[in-house]
Amino acid sequence: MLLFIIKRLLQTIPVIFGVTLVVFLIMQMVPGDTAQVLAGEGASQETIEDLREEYGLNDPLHVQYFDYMKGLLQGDMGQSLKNERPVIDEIMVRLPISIELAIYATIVTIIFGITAGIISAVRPYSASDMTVMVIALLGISFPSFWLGMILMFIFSVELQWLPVSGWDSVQHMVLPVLALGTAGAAIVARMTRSSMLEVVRQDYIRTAKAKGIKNYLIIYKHTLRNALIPVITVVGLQFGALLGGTVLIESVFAINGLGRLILESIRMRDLPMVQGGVLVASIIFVLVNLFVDILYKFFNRRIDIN
Amino acid sequence: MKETLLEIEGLKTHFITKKGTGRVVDGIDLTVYKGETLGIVGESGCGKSMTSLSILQLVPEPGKIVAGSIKLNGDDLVTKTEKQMQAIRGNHISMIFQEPMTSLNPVITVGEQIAETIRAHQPISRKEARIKSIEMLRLVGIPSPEERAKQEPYQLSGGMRQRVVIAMALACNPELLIADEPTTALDVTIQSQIIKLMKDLQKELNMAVLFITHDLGVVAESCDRVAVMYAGEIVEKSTTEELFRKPKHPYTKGLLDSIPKINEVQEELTPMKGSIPSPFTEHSGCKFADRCPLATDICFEQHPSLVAYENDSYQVRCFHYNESTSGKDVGHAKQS
Ligand SMILES: Nc1ncnc2c1ncn2[C@@H]1O[C@H](COP(=O)(O)OP(=O)(O)OP(=O)(O)O)[C@@H](O)[C@H]1O
Ligand SMILES: [Mg+2]
Repeated sequence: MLLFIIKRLLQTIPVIFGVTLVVFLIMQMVPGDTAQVLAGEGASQETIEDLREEYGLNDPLHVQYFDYMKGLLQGDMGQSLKNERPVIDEIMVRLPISIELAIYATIVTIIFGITAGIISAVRPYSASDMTVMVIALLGISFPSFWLGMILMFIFSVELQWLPVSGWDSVQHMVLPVLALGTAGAAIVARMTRSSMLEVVRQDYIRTAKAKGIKNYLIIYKHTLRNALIPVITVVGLQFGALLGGTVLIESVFAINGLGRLILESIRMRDLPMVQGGVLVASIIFVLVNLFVDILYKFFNRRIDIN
Repeated sequence: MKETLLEIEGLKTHFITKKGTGRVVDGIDLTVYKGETLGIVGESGCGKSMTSLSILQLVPEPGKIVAGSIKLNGDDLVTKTEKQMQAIRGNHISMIFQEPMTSLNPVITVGEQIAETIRAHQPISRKEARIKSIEMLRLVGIPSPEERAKQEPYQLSGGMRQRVVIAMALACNPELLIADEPTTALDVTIQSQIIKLMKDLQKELNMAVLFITHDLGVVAESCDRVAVMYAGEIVEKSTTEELFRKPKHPYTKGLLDSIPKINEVQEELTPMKGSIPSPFTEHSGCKFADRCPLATDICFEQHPSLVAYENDSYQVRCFHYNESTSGKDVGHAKQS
């Protein structure tokens, strides 16, 4: 197990190189001139040239990349081109907000998803099953930012029950968290249902019935424990999708998280900031996946060995 | 006088599907006496497992018990509610299933799987149940039961798992144990260990066993009486001794001829021709007729009933069997 973890951690190194390289290249393709943007509207050609020189924008691309990587290996992510603050400081302000958003949305995904899945699986093809599955299908079909705008329109604009934007109080959090967590909840619900229906057909469930075990114990103890093993993987994958979703949701609800920071920085052509933001997001993504794999391996140990 | 424990009368379990009705169990009468071992033998697919699942009211969809009664100590199980059945399963009647490798829950410790059975039927604490479960593991011959109880099924060998399954089935001291091919999936040495264990425990706990198998060798070794099943019906019923001494139904003879005998010079093994008909086929005559060496017109036209001979000491379902010919062994004479 320890070997597995070390191996996986070593695998993150090429991932980090890859991510920085890809971001670097993509940023070169974003239209516009960095120095121009930095200098602002109506700046003289001279100022722009000076800036270009100052930030090393005249160097060949590979030199620029190696300079950046050299800094990175020394733990320096560089400074924002916009306000010259260290990238790491800005990220540390924004990241916790995004993590909060992602974690709450994951909790929604897990709780709503598994509950709905159980309701469906207990009486398959019944009216309650059909209702839950139709809702789940809708949940999967709606893009999260669109759902976010609909929710905002209904609850904030029309009913005025909840604030339109921001991240200051629990009331602020309700809509973005729901918008972000719904798709995942829908997928988890479907997975839980099919997984439970699969487990119910297993021999050991028949054994449990033949022992005279009560129905609720058969569902919660014998069926659910086995059925949730594949659901763990789905939740992990969902968390990845959800990190991507934070970018959109943060924009819709004007939440100052990491996703919004990256978007703003792209617009400003603030390369070090974009690099730093994407890099941190990628590392989190990789670590979460590693954690999920470890969990899955742990819960699946009985099946692996057979 | 033997005391009746389980009495099955006219049991029919059918699978009603769009394709038609599958008569999987098609009118079975069986009596199990207290403390005895009754064997049910027959080819794969003849309805042995469905008979045992019917007794526990656990027939899978779309199967249904459509007729008959199953009386445990005179009390009909067919009319019981699911709740009432839960109190009987694992308590008065236990079952060991055909697939020992998959019949334990992979994510629950074996100790807990035994303990939960006890707690489902007896008002005792978690701790007492745990102690009792370790006792049960010791009873079925599992070494260092305290440690084993904390393990999950994947940590145990096949033979060990089947011992756990037996411990689980016997935990509440049932009056009837249904063993559905408990040893088929195990290798031969372990097979005989398990059969011996079951016999010992049966004596110790004084329970009746309904032993389902397609292995006549196992029947000879462990059963007092035998019922031979063919296509959802019983075709012959007698004591084990009588069955092996002189099989009466042509199907039983066929079964006996198709297994090697150890202490006899065997001229030739004769596997039976043909195969068991699907439960979905309609029969107007004897279900065995088209495989039967003795079949005549009547066998294809009329359905024979199970007839008792010699003061009910055995029963046969065959037009060509009667007491006058019982001295001669018609089927065998023809073959040998
Ligand atoms: N869900 C089902 N739908 C229709 N027919 C079924 C279904 N399940 C089982 N059967 C049929 O019921 C018949 C009896 O099955 P059963 O499992 O009782 O046989 P068995 O005697 O136990 O055989 P084996 O020795 O292979 O265990 C078989 O012919 C099988 O095809
Ligand atoms: Mg069977």
